[in-house]
Amino acid sequence: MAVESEVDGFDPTTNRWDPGGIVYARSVYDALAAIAADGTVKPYLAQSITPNADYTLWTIKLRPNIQFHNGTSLDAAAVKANLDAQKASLLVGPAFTRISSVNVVDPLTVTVSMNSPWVPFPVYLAGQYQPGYIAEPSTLANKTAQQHPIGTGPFVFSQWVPGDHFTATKNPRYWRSGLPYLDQVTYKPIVDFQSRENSLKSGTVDMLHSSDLQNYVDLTGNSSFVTVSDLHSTLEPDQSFFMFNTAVPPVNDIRVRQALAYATDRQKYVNLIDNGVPPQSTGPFVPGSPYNTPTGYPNFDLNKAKAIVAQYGQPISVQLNVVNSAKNLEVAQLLQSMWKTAGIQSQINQVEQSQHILNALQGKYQINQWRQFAAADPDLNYQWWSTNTAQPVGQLALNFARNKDPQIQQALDTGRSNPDPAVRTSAYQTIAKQLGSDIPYLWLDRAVWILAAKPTVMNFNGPTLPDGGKALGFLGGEIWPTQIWLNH
Amino acid sequence: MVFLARRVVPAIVVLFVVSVLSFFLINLLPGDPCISILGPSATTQARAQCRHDLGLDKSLPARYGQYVNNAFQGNLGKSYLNGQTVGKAIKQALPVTIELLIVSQLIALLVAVPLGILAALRPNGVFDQLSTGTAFGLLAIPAFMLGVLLVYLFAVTFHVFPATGYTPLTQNFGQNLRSVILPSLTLALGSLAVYMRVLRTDMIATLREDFITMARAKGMSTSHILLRHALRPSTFALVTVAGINVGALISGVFIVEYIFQLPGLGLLTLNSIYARDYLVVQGTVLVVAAGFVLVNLLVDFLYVAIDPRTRHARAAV
Repeated sequence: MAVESEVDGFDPTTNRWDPGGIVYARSVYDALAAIAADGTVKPYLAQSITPNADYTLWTIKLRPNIQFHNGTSLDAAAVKANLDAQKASLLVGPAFTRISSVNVVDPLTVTVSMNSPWVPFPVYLAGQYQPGYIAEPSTLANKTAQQHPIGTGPFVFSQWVPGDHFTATKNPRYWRSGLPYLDQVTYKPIVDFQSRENSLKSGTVDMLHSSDLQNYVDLTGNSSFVTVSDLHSTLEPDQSFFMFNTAVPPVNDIRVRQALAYATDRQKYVNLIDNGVPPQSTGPFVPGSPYNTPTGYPNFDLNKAKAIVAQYGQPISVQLNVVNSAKNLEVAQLLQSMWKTAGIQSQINQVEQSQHILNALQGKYQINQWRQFAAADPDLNYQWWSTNTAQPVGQLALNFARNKDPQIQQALDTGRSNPDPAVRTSAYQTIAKQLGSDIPYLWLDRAVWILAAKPTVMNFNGPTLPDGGKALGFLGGEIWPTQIWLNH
Repeated sequence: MVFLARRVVPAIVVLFVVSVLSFFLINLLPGDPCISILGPSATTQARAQCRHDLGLDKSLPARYGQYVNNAFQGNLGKSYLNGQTVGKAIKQALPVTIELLIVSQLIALLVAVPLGILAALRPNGVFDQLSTGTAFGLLAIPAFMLGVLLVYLFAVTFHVFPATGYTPLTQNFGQNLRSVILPSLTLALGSLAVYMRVLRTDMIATLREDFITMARAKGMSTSHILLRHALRPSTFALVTVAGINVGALISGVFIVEYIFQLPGLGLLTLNSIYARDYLVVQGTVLVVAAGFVLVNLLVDFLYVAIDPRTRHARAAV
């Protein structure tokens, strides 16, 4: 399988996994939980994950008789070692700040104590992101997991040549009887979208995943391949947008942000940049999501944009930062031309990617191109939208837009601590509306991933859970390799 | 011995200068590897810890001193990103690039030499004009364009060769050959045109020499004259150009390895630059520079073997 990018290693506590990394991880590791097809969280390595009455203590009970690839048993001590390492991790630790302690109750049971109620905690263990994947504890302690992962997963690590391939072979002692079906999986990171597509077309690889919409256009409907995309998924996908630094002029003025939003023809952007594939976005939640609601976000209206510019009373000139690639420059130039017709001048700055992120963290920008917010549960975006993480310019802030809205903060806390689904839905709808009126983000469209395979590759989108129920299939570039088979 | 010293000492100086320049220039690049490693959610303390762990909190001269000291002990450091030693990464990538260069140059020379000889046999004849036109056509097509065209034709359309990837020679000879043919051809076609033109020009000049007239007068066959008498003295410029061409090929290798996703030095360097993996970039730049210097040293030695006048001139000095 050709994947879009390479990972930097397989240690769930120190290496950063994108969708390609998650696919690698699902080959050699299992997570404590998994997302079902209906979006709910189900136990996976765990037999049950249950809260106490006020959601401050979670009890994780493990399935018996599961072994790591080196023959050691998966037990409560192993889970505690993993969760402790993740909490202490510089990389994933910030997601686990609410955990106060992890305790072993018996050989197959651990309890996780929180310093305040945390209702959606299980979603953090569900393998959509890297917390929750359980590595053999000694590989975390002696730092060998980065190069040589040992998990309980369906495939046993065989070889990794960074930048070239990752190979794993069938785990003969896999705890899910009869699985996996494949004898071996090999992943090849191919960054260039055209080379990835050529590899599939020439038969070099059996399948690929891609977030480049040119691949979507080329391969969807091509009778030589079977394709699936997450275009119609109602779980929160990544959104493409431009982010305003609400702490610096002139974009700290809501009128400027409104004018820019009214001046942006999102459908033109979708047609010219994203091949007309995804729908326009007006918020972080897509149609079909329980949290989707009319947000009041400004639709394209050039006259309104011009009127606001006139009312503003002085020339508006903004700095527009994009990561330095030809396509991003094309995007910036398109927006620049749209804004110019409304009387807003802009200067494009092309920035190296890590510097771009650092600028966002430190607030050293006016408008940054961005893609973010994919989440199986909106609570995963808590730190990005919270007023508590909106530090002044010059200090590192995870709320990059530095948008301080007390209603958003209250809704985030409600969503995190209230178990009532109706209350949570209402809270996240409030957030969507507030983001629509605050305009810290200039929404464009959603990310769309495609998976294309030869017709001989079967069942790549039909994973099941250990209890036989349907698991969440292809989403955000991630698949489960466990139940794929080849029809020769 | 003096000749050897005259060639080796400047080579060492070149390598030292390259190591200094690559170290300081790479460190002037904007960005922070700790952002790549930890992502945007890392705290200030986490980033500071990361920079300390990687030694990035020390001064540039101190880091360079440490780097040189370790390099002399055969330790080029570890990748910031994946923890792999730079030596191991280069060891995995170098054979791919060397094979690519060798196969491409073999293809170029195997085609260019006969074509150059035949073209020189009847200057401005039909074959000469045809081959000259083709050569200029090939020269005009950049490697990235040629690579894409070859992939479209031979991989995507006819499924003769793979579009991407590399099979090691030790794993399967046939598959190895299939995986390097298209990238080698992409590199070779540009070189081929140059080699053919250079050899043709020198051959035409050689064929006008008195000793060739003498050979003809003796009744020697044309093929004997061309291959035994004219070819060797005509290859002096070809060898020079081939040596210099290695430098040009290095940039071609970067493009070709990216297009064909070959896990060689070019792809390793590009990926490391994108990831701000400084030590890997420094290691690969150093190896590429060493390779370039080494090839040019070999060319100097080849002059002596090819042209006795060079040997005598050096002996007289």
